[in-house]
Amino acid sequence: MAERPMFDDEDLPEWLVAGGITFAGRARAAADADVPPWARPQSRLATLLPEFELPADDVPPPWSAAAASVELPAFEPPAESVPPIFQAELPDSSAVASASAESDAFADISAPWDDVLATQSAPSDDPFADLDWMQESPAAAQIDQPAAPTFQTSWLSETLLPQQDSAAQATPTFQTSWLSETLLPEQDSSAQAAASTFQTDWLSADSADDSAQTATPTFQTDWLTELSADRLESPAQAVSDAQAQTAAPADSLDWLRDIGMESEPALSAPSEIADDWLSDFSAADEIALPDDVSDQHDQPPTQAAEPLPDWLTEQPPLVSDAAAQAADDLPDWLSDDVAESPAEPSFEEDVPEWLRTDYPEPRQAAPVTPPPEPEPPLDAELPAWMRELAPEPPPRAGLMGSSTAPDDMAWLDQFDLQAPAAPVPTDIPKPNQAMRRSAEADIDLSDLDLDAILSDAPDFNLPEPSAAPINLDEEFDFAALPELPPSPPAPLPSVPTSPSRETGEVAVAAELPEWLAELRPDRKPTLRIGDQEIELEERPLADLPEPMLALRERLKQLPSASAVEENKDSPLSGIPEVLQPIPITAVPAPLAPSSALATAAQLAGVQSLRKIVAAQEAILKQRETAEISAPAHVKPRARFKFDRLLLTVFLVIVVVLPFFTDLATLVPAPRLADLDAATQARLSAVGAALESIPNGSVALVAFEYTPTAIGEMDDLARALLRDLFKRDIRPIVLSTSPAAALYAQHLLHRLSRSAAEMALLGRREPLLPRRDYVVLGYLPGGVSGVRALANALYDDSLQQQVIFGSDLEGAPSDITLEQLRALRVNPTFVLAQSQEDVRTWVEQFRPPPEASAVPELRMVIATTAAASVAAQTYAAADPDRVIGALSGLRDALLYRELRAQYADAEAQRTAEQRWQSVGFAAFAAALAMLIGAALNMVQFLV
Amino acid sequence: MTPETLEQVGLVIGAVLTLCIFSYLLSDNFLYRIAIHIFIGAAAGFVLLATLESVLIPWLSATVFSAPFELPRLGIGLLPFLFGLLLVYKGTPRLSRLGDFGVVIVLGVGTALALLGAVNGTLLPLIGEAARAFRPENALNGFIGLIGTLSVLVYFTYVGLRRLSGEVTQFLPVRFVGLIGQGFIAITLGATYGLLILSALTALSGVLADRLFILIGR
Repeated sequence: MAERPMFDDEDLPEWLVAGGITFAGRARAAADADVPPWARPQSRLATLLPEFELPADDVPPPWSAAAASVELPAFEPPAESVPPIFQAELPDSSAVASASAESDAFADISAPWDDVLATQSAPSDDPFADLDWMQESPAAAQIDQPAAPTFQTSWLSETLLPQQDSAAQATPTFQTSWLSETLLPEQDSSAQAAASTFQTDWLSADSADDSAQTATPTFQTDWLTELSADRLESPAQAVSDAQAQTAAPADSLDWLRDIGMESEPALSAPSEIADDWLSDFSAADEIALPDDVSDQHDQPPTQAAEPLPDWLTEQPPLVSDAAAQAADDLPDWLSDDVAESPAEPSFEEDVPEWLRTDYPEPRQAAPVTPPPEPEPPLDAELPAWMRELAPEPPPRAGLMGSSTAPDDMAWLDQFDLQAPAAPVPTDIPKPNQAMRRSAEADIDLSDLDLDAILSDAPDFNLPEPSAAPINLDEEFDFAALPELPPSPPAPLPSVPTSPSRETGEVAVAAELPEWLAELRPDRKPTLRIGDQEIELEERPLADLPEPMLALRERLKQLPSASAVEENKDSPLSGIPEVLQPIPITAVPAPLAPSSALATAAQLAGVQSLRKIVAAQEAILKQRETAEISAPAHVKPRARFKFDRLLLTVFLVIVVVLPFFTDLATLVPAPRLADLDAATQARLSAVGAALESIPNGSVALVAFEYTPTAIGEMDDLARALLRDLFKRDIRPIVLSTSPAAALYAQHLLHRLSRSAAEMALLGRREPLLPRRDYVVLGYLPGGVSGVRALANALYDDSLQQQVIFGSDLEGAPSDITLEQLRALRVNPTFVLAQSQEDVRTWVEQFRPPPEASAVPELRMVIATTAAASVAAQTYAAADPDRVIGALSGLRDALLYRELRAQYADAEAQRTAEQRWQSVGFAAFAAALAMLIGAALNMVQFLV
Repeated sequence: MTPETLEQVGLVIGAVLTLCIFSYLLSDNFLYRIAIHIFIGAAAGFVLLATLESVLIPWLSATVFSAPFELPRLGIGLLPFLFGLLLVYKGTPRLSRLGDFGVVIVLGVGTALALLGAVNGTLLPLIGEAARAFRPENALNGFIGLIGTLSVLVYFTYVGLRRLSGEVTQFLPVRFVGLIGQGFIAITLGATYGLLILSALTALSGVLADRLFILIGR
């Protein structure tokens, strides 16, 4: 899909495109700079008017000298200079009465024009064939129509025409606008054209320079004048003259030129055009073009008599419908001003040169007002030598308000907007209804001489304008306006303030309505502060917001401040009418936070905090009173906790019960045969490791459990020690805990004093310390101590002496070096209570780095149930180093069964009763936890 | 007073003190406090004597008072006392800077040994075992172990994004994986607590059985 340009010509209005103002046109500007607009590719509208053909390019404009001989029908100025849009009712002339349709107004205009075109072999296509208002010419209107055509011309209408061929030469026509007609400056009579046509302000500015530009007319007369019946009589003559004239500007529209040529004879009659068309509103006088109006059309307007305001040049002239316009749209004060305006410059100032020749009939004879003085050259007062040095005047702004108009609208740039407009004709003759546009197609537009036609157009006899022309460049003097009719007294406050520059107060005239007084401020409000005076721009009341208006009303109702004796010591002394300070007495604000300063949540928080503080204060007071009143030795009794007592008794019963009955046998005792292969292998590995120790050797036993864990670890400790004593292996006991080392000594002492144990061991004499076993001293440092122990086993004399030199009592241990070497090979039995002990021994009990060739130090770990996980993990991770892991009462019973350490069945039964007691207690504990959780959940939910 | 008699007295005193400790189940009472005070005092005294007799005296005998006199051995023997003396200065505000050296020795040596042992003795063997756990017959256990290990490590990630309100939020994937690790941690802690209860009950059963047997003459 082709990318859509940012600016598409489809978004432009048709009239603009027809005028050649397109985005594509601008792109073609460079290429089509020399091509007149009508010669360029036709716009969309051109397709709608296929029959229309541009006149020949060699046809001179009607205002040129060659066309001066063209006799155009006299243009009958309209009855009123007010365009129909502002007319409440049509003038008395019948031509105005039929202004309901533009077709009627221009019916007379088009009739003679058709004839001209027919004789001139005009192109058959008539772009206005379907426009009735173009059927009549002004001349025809003059015959049987009143002199006040109700049409309104517009510059936009000319843009509706398609582009013409390059061969056809047509001068662009222009249509005045009611707006431009109101701003007609005074024109100089010498600058007026002879043709009686409408000429707008900016058009007249161009016409003032037409005298210097005879060969290059920039504008053609209004098609309106061209369509007049009188002018149509000499279309052929006008065309022939146009041909002899110099070449018209390349950028002129053909149909407008033809119209101008047709109406040129009509403009020959002198007519006076009121400078201000508004001045003719109240009067039914027809505006007659001045005699020299047509002359102005001979010369394209080049220089403006007065500079046109920018806002006017930028504003597009309105395309008014004569039928839709009514005179009652014009405010009375404006119409009165127009009627009372003094003698106006001639109408020629407002009507372009080409437009004057378009009127078929001259209007009612009006005093010819001289056109306004053209604007003196900028260098008129400069000496000659300065004139040469003076910079060239800036380029005149074109129609579009830009000095650098696009090439498409270059023909419009030739039109001087600054030139004074010709006075508006007071009366525009109604076009001839009998004229038909069918003849226009037969007219050869290329042969028309618009200049000649326009020059021969009759002058409009326009009445003098009733009001002075409005010069937009000057500040309008509203004081010169007529007084307004008295309005009913407005309900103003009873305290009118007189305007005063010193106080800077805005004056509100009580005699005028407020809305009107705001419209006519006699002076700007000023603010005077000391010696500084600042003028403020007052806003109209309509622009003020409603709160401001209400405040304003309230201020008016306020009584005036009482005169207060001025304090000469204040910094404002000397300033008149200064506002005195209002005496204010300071009042302490309430402590309570107001709702305007805090939200509801914040207030609630504040209240909560206050309650807390109050409660704390009350508690403190109670404590103080209680301490004072109550004796010091009296302490509050704790509440007796019955639930705890019940639970304690329950657990004691559960634990003791299996020892007295078999009813509490919930879990059968562990049997070696009931174990899986992995468990059996684990237990077998421990037995095998113990069997690997030679008889009479030594074995290191680490007692790492305190008396708090004797209930669980004593069985394992006794089982392992029994096997060591049974094979005459001397256990060397040590510990990193002083309490564990002491308990180890106690256990061995008890074991040696038990006859059953001795019988089980097969010994007749008790075990003696430092002979049968050695309890080394406390190994300090925890991790460092175990590491030092491992280093002491390998060539560390100081450490060996420190660690293995004496026992727990401080007596020499009598451990030889051979026994130390044997300790490196024989497994070490670690009896650990916690995971920390297991990790310490597994991580630190390693050979030193320099002794890499020696085998690893093996160990058998016997732990409690809580540390069984860590022990089994290490055993599974390094089975060569950690031989096995025995944990809890279950492994103790199994090991005893494996190693046949039960003396008799009673001993085994006692051991199993221990197992049942532990199991039953565990079951009871779990049951108690579940009941407690359920009760708490119910309590929470309730 | 024979040793057997003293032993019997000791057993009885032990049983009484045990019951006093058990009385804490009811509430905090003076019997419990007596038993606790006795235990702490006896333990402290025994530790002092054990340290003195099994550590300091042998150390001094082997270093400071060893024969023949050797200066290096003397220096080595006095070095621990020097570090201990520096630790004493830690209690004085003015000379606390001197105690920093002793603290550095203790913490530095202990941290180094612990770190070395943790890497060589725990991390590497466990990593190897976890890798070997992915056997065809034990793939599920290995996969669960891997998920649990990674999720627990992610759970202890303290990297987040601080928002404008000051709140620190973690990324969504980190939070999701951490939630899984939190589940594994909860299961582990629950199992550990159950084992602790079992150990406690075993200990209670053994103690009560021994005391009971004594009371009933078994």
